[in-house]
Amino acid sequence: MTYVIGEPCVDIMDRACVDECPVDCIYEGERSLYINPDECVDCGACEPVCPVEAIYYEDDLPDSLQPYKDDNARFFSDPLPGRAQPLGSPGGAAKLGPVGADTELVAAHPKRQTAP
Amino acid sequence: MTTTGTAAYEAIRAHHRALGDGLTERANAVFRAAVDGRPHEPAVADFVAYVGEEILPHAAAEEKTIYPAVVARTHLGNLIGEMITEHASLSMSAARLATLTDGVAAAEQAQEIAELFGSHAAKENDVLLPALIADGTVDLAELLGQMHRNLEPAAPASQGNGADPQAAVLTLLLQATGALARAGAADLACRIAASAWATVHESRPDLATKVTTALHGLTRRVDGAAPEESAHHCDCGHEAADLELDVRELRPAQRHEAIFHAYIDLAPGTGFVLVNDHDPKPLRYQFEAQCAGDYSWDYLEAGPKVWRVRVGRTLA
Repeated sequence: MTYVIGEPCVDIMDRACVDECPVDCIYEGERSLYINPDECVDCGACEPVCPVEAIYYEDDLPDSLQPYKDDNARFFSDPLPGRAQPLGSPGGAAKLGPVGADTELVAAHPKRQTAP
Repeated sequence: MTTTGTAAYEAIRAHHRALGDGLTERANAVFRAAVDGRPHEPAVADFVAYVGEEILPHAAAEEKTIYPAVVARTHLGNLIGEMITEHASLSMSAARLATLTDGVAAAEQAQEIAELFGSHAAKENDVLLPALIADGTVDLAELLGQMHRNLEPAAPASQGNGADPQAAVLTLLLQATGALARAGAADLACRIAASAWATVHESRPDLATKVTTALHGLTRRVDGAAPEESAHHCDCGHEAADLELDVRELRPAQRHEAIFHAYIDLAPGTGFVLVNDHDPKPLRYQFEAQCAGDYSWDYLEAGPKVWRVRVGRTLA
């Protein structure tokens, strides 16, 4: 079980959730944040602080965001573009820093027009 | 002045600024604790440690490098006497701060130390270093190098900005408890996390809050009543007289602190009825870690919307 970050985060990346997470398992890609399902402890602290309601407990994901459950996992289990190795479980996002790459699903998402 | 001299001057100024910011930030933490009525000791301990580990070694290194150069090459010898006296004053003020029992007095003392350091560093930046530069025969970059060599024994492993080894270790520990819970040992995971909470909740309330948050996730995986407790079940029927502690209006981060404060104030043999909007399993693990054998725990109402638990202090 894990929490999942869905499409509303793409190009927003508010990061309020990152500060709340007690196990530092929310990692920063290029255009979205991702929750590491192997590190998440299901506490739910991230969910209410997200200003765009991008975060759901996996059982509560709306149908439209279902693909993001596996996609969050792929960010860690599959090698990202330009990398030979998958991220795996880095043991904390702060020490890893921004990853600078995204999964195919997020990378293919149309660029969101953000307010200037 | 040479380019390396300019760079060295800027580096020294930047370092003074960083030290000043570090002190001010910690003085503010003491002030906030005093204003909020929280124990000020943890913030004072952090402030005093910072003076001991960062400020005083820096001062000692200056006394071996920059100050002798100033005495040898400028007419500012008197000022150097004053500067060394200020170093001693910083040290004594920090020692006094550590003994203050009143939060407001501690906040004032910390503020005073931060201000003294600020005016002290300003004299170095604006008077001493420019005098050395004007003299022109001193290699400021070489002096800075000497200072760093002097500092090496005092600060062996210089960590990155904002490094917090305690927080980093705690993150790893909580991740490990998560893995344990996923592997089917949720009860053990919760006990370990609760012990971690008991270890840090006085010295690092910020980290304790993170543990409490994680416990709320970990306990989701614990089936049935938790933990296998040493709590004594009380059936003496004295709930009627107990006060209610309804924490539903408090922010989740404040709840556990409020509950433990209430518990500490209990006389042996008395209790209160905790009212919450979820099963307070995480709290029970914390009681088990902190107060095993001394508390009682009885569910009076168990959901689905409201939980009422009589928490008591057993007779010694």
